[in-house]
Amino acid sequence: MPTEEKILRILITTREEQALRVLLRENPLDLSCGGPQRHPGGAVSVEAYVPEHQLERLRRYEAKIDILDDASATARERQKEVGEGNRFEGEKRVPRGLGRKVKEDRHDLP
Amino acid sequence: MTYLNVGEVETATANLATAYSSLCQLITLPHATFEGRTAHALRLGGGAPGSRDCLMIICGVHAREWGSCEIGIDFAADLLEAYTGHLALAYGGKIFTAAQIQTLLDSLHVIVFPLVNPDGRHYSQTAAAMWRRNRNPASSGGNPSCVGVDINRNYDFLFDFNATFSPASDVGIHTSDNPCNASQVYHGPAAFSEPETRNVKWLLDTNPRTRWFIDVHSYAEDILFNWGDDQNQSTNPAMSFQNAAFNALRGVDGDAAYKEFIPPTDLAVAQQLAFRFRDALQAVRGKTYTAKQAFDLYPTAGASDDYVYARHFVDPGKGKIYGYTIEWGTEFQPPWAEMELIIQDVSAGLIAFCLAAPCGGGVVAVGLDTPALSFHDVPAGVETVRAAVFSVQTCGAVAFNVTSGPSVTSGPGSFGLPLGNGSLPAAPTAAEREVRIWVSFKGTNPGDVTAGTMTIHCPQTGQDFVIPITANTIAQPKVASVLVLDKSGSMDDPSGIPGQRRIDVLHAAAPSYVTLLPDNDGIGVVSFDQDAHPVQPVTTAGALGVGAGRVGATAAITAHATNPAGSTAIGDGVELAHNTLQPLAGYDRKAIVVFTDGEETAAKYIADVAGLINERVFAIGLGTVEQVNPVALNKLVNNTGGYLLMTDALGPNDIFRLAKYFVQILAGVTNAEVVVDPDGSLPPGVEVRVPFDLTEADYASDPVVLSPAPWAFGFELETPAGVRIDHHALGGVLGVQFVDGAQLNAYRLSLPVVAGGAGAHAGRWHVVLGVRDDGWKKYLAWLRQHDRALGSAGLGVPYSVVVQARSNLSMAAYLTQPSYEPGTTLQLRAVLTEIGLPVEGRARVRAEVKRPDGTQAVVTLAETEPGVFEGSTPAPLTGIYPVRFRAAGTTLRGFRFTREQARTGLVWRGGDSDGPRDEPGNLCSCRQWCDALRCLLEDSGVRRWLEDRHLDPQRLEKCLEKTLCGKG
Repeated sequence: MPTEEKILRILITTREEQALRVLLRENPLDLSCGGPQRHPGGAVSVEAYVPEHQLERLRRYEAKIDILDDASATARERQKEVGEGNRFEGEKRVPRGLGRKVKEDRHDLP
Repeated sequence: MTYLNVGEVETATANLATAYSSLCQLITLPHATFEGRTAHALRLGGGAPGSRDCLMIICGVHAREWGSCEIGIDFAADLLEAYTGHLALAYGGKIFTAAQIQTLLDSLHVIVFPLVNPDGRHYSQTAAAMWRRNRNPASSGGNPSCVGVDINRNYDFLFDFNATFSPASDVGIHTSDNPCNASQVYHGPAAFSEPETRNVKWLLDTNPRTRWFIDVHSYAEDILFNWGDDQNQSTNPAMSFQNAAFNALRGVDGDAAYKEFIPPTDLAVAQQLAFRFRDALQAVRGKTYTAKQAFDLYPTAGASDDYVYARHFVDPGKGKIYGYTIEWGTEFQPPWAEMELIIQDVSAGLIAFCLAAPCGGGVVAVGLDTPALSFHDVPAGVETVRAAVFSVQTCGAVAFNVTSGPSVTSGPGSFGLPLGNGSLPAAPTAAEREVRIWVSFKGTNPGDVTAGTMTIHCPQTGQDFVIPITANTIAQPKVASVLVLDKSGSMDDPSGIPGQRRIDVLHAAAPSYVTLLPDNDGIGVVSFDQDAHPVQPVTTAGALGVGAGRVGATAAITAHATNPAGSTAIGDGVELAHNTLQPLAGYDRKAIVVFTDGEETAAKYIADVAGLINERVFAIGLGTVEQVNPVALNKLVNNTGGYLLMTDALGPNDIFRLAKYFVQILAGVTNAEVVVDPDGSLPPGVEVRVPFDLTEADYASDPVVLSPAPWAFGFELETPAGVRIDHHALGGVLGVQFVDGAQLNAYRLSLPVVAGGAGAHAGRWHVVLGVRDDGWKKYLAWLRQHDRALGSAGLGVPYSVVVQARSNLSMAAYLTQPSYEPGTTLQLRAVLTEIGLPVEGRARVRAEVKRPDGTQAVVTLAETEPGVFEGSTPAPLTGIYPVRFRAAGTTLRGFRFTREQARTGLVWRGGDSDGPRDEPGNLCSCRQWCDALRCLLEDSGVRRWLEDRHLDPQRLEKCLEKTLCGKG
């Protein structure tokens, strides 16, 4: 998986499941973990992460290709949201979860 | 806050363990990653490792699914903080009370493994954000795009997907054996090839009480339960991942060729817990996750959730683990603000799951493991049971009520419910429990086929289980046995009983075995001295008293004569008996009964032939342990499932001992039960009533009177209703036969009998004995005729009453010894069963032990498990320890029963040595030397040669006969 090339998040939709099966068998793709989504009428779709150059090949199939996102760009943004250094080191800071801890006699509980 | 980097995950994990040290343990995983990172996990909850059921959560498997680690860390941090502060815990609209949090960490261990794949996460966070795998380059061939293994395809579950799935399956889209496959799902060179998966396996192996496992992934907003390889089915256990016959059929959606088996109770629990996760998560902010079977996502091979659940099928010694996969969110790396919401969603779901897990989410899951009951080949008259088995998973009490049947729909006979309905009390966890409802059937007539049905209702689930029942009856098993009788010269020695040689005692006792044989059993006789001699081929015993086998075998015993010059080659006798039995067809069991009075003095020895013997061997040793030195004989009987009874030195009061041993061994050979076994002497004019209890479990019985003068007695039976049965007047009495033997009289009852116009079966019966006047006179004349001391007549005519039963209530008695040297221990064990079920809490068993010095001990055997009674007694003295096991109790239907069995403990110096064996290089036996020298002395040339040297051949012959060729 080349790291330099732009990766696109796409949605592939075919009219019926067999067509998608053929496409995926002939083109191993990095799929989301959601698996194929089945729609009324027999259509089926799946999300995939593909290098931009692969789009042209996929479009040769009887499939609708929707570009959802520039996954590479999004990923770069997300990588900025990763902590730097070590926020738990030195002062022995203990992580706290996101749940609200409440004394049970308080009335601000939902 | 933002996403945690790899170092932060590790430090945060360690800091939680330090901050909550009394409630949380840091676990160091043993396998470092390719880049050298050592991973850690947390065990939440007090108590020693392994002291509680465990729920395991693993996170950070796929590198790019960053938020999984934060879910693990935050979930653990929340639980620890809330528990320590006795606080409630709220996520949006979902609240868990302080009591719930306390309960959770007071009752469970929760293992959180927050970052399984640190190398991959680091690479994803710092380089290729969409990286999924680990960073192992072993299979990459130097191509950076081909680095790494998909950890969640590397577990040992249908790993070789090319062989185990159908070519039509989509599994190949989601799993690959190509490291360079763009789908990033390379499964690795072998299952558990990766340190990350080995770490998870290690955690499972070292926490064997793990019962639930959740692998946290993204994304699809699902919680998935087993299985992932194909659609579930709960009707055909053989259609499973372990069955190679279904290779190449798995993984196709919607077909009937293959679906993966999951027990219905497991499926109910798996679904219910997934629903509890889903519902709690939804309560936070309204997100709707889908709870579904993993296969509904897509077919998988080598995934963690199926591996953990499969473990207990592959190795039943391992505990069952329900496997789940969570697919949180709608993208791999949502903005942190959204991730914080997802963390709360999933944390709420996880806590709800933990709270619900011990009781299976409150489900009452009931599955029938035995959709049909089959009584296959039940011998006529024998009652046996089969169980309708239900698997139950619930914390609640459950009842199973038989609402219909068991009734016969075709054929003869009837089915019964010996223990009635079944139920289970409430339990603290929903760990799988079993309920058995026993159904009984008594064999009717050979060839009969019976069918029936019953319906069992479970009020807690409302289910009705209709169970078909089938049965067929066969003839009683036939037993062929061969008596192997010693005729060595020592059989002419005095027996210890006044006026009787050992061979006389044998003549008196052995016919009891033949007389009491079941009609259809076969009996043969061989004898042995230094060689074995066929005497009677195995012949059907035939009708009581007159059957060909009985008559022939009794005549053979009577004609059994000593060879004054004979030695003792027991191996020869056993081998001939084996060769006699081996080709016989038509018998269900075969046995050899050895009688000997001395140690082995000639080949073949027992050790030489022991490897051939596949029949049960029983043995009676007449004499002391020093005389018989039964090292090899004892090993032989123990190895074949029989036993050895030793008489010890006989005395004037031991006239019945050998006969009783023959009767006891007959019971062992034919699987009969000894009910009572008292003896005494009876003067004229006195009537003695010997009570014995028969039960509904007994289907035949032989009340026997042993006596040197059985003809002196009036011998009647009294039924539980008080009706007398006299063998002189059996008109109108059904099911009763009588045999008038040489030294015994016996009734043979086929239960129930009809006497006095009524049936008689279970209850207290009596043997009624009285010495008639004419019998007394005849007895005194008999004493004179046989040169017996008249003084012994003062006590009356000696007798012994033995009652045997063919029964569905049996006692197996075992006397084992760790050694046969003085100072050993006699280990005593009795197992009581009724129609195959343990006689639990309804009997007591004691063992009366007579020591060589004449003192006695009574050992009360403790019921160590249902129907199993055990005890021991030291054996410090050399000699024979006769042990009589006596059991008394009540049957399932409340009738009294008794059972008795004799065994002998043996202790002598040299008891642990090896028996003699005829091996090349051994010196020849005395017998062989004797034969050789005799042969030489018969040669005229040799005789002349001796005479020329002034040696007397006749004198040499006499020396030989007195020494080497002397009796054995």
